[in-house]
Amino acid sequence: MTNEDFIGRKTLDVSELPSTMFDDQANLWWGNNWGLAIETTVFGILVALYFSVRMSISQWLPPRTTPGLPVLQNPLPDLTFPTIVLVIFLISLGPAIYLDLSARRKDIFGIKVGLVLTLAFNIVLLVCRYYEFDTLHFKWNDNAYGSVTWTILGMHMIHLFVMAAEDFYIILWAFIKGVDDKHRLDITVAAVYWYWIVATWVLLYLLVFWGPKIL
Amino acid sequence: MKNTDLSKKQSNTLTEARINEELRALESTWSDKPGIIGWLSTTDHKRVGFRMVFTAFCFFTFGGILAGLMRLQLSLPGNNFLGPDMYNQIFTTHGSTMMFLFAVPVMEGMGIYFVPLMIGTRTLAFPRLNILGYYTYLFGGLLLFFGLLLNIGPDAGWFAYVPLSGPEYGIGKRVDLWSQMVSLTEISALIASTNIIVTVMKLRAPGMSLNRIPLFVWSEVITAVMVIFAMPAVMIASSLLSMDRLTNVSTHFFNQAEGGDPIMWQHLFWFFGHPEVYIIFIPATGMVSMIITTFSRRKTFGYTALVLTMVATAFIGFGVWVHHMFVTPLPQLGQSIFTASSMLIVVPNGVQIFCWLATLWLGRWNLKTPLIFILGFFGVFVMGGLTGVMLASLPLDTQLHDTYFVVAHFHYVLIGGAVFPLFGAVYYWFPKFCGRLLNEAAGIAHCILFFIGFELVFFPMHILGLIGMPRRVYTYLPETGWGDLNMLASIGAAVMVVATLIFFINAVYSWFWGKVAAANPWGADTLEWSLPSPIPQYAFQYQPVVQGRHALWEQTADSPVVTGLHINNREVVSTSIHDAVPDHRYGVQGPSIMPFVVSVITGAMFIGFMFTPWSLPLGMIALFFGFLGWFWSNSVEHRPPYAPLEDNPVYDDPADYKPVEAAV
Repeated sequence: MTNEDFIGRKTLDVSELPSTMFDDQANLWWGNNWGLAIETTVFGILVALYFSVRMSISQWLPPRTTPGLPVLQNPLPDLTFPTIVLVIFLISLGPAIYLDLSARRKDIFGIKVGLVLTLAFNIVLLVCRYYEFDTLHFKWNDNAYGSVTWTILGMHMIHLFVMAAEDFYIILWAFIKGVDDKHRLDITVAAVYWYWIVATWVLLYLLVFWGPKIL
Repeated sequence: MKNTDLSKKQSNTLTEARINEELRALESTWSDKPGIIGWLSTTDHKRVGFRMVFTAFCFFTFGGILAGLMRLQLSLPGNNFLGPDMYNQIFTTHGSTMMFLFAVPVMEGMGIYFVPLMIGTRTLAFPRLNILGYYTYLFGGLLLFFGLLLNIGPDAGWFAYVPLSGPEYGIGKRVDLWSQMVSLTEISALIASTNIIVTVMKLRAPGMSLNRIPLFVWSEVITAVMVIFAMPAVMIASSLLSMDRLTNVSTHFFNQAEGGDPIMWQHLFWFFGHPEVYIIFIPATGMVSMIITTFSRRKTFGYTALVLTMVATAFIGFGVWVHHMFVTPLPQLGQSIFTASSMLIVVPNGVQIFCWLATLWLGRWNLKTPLIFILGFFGVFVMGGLTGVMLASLPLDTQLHDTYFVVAHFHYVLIGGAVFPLFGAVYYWFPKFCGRLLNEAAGIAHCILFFIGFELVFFPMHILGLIGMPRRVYTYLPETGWGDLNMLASIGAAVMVVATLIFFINAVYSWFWGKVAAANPWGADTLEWSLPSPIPQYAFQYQPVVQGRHALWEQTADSPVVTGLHINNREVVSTSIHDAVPDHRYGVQGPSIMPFVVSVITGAMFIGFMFTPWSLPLGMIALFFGFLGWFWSNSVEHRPPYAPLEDNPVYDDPADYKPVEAAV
């Protein structure tokens, strides 16, 4: 088309439309959700792997015979500590929802408080995860059961790291440059990520810590 | 914005002065930065898409050279041109290249290039992510060939079955090169897919409701959804394999002795591997639909059926993977189910073929090279489909497994189903790349020679397979009687090489000296043809309002165009998912070097993981800073997207451009 083709054309003027929308009207929200679809598939496959390991090990759980460590005949994972961690995960939803709502309300104080709180929870949970590995009683290279459980916990831990980094970036921006519309959208999208992290953990917790007992 | 508001807003008219002013602003807003940094940091989907297609064709050439070497080796019985080890490396690299580095990226590249243009927008939804995807793909591909050139290429076949590829038998770093290449290219595929889906969902031009989306765009979206659910399987599989192989990690996922399961590798690989076939084939069907419609000069027959068959193929494609594993121990019910589902997939493909035939039957043909390639596609692909039905049958498959019959089958479906349409598409869209047409006579010679060469190479392989020649043997004895047919196949390979050379010479010649093309040289119906050839960086001077399924054919002379977007910021109109009613103005980021930096870190992290697990934490720390830079530059360069028109310096008198209430 040349310039002449446009002369006298009617126009569809979009100048009065907003430049930031939330949820299913926002491109970023969709991009994040499709990304989470990928990650959900990843966990789905890891769960399938867990069951495959269950099928190939006839004595469940296999006794721990790692050299240098006491032999455990029935090495079920500890439940107390992981359950406490699960509760912390669930409590962390509180600040996340508060942050999400504050971003929608454009409540700058709420946003800043919410950001700091969610990051604090995130860091606490990262530290907890580090100790959670010990409750499995196996190392990743002891057997396939150890490999798959460590991978599940590790994979989820990577998401905790990513979320912490994301939170940190937004905090930096919010405290240095202030909160604009674009970053309000970023916050609501990051909140979806956190909800997803907690939701997947509930399922993975059941599998990893109750699975050995039940399956 | 409601539909009624939309018609109210179609009121103002454009004046020449305003058009000229806005054009000048658009040109500078959407142009790349100059120099090598500008080249590395471009976010223009056309440049990235073209680079992807170009790089994929380079890998296609390398993969083709490897195929030629294999044909040389097999042309005579007892030949010792290539040793067994070299032969293993070559067939593994050939297969991996053609699947991971050519077929998937080239289809994505075409999507990245044409999807935004076909839906009437100026950019992908996440342009910086897009260039990141290209670099990770490039690094993955270079890694593979780096291995081959150092004589440490992977040698366990393109599906790298354990235990052959595991720590026990897969010596050195050979298989690690393969697994890291896979991880890097799949990251690239996942990035491209997310980008394409969101772009098509949210950035279509106003008026392009779901039932008006061009079929090629549908095919790219459906493929992208398949990628999202298929690619993670192979990414996990290859990561687990590299963890099993890495000395300091030594997990036991595929180690039978410690409760692992080697068969699980096959499940994970083929859960990706079979959908992969459709990930390659479905975009090709989109190309077929576009070319047939244009060159039959009529509306597509069975648009809805064609979309639904693509969706059906995608769904069923996830339920057939076990037919690659018919010779592993399977429960009988499983055997029956996967035989049935493998045969079921013929139904949507058949419907598709008949829709195309009906379009051709009812059309007035414009018999140019793209259409001739599509006719070749019918001949080759249908035959490949039929041998596919044969292989879906378990008793026959047990007999033919790992023979040349299988090699013949998948080359018929992949070259027939994807390469023929792809060549047609290159002839079709070449004017959009460079403003010139490819030479017709050379194109016809290319097509006919390629077809003859193809049949000479691969038809005899059916017979070779039936009389018992296994695949992946570097030589055979004269007494087997396989010599003549192998010689015939090798002669055919030479013909294919000649045909491809004609294409490359034609492409280079036409790029510089070919016939200059008009904006729409074929009289096609989709929006990219409304743009000048070659396409300016801002693509659409004004985003169009779409009035029908065949956008250009159904467009009225005075169809409205979108105005009111920022012309000093990169901004496009974002529309609702179903009806494509404008809902907001979407600002995208300009070029940045950070995606390149992040991709270098990612590449280094994956390559490092071949040697030490510490590359993972170190890589993550580096990525933390890389993404911090990305995030920061994103936020700084992107001006606050909402600014009232009065602040926009291009408008002299903003009052002129306020919408005027008038009936349309």
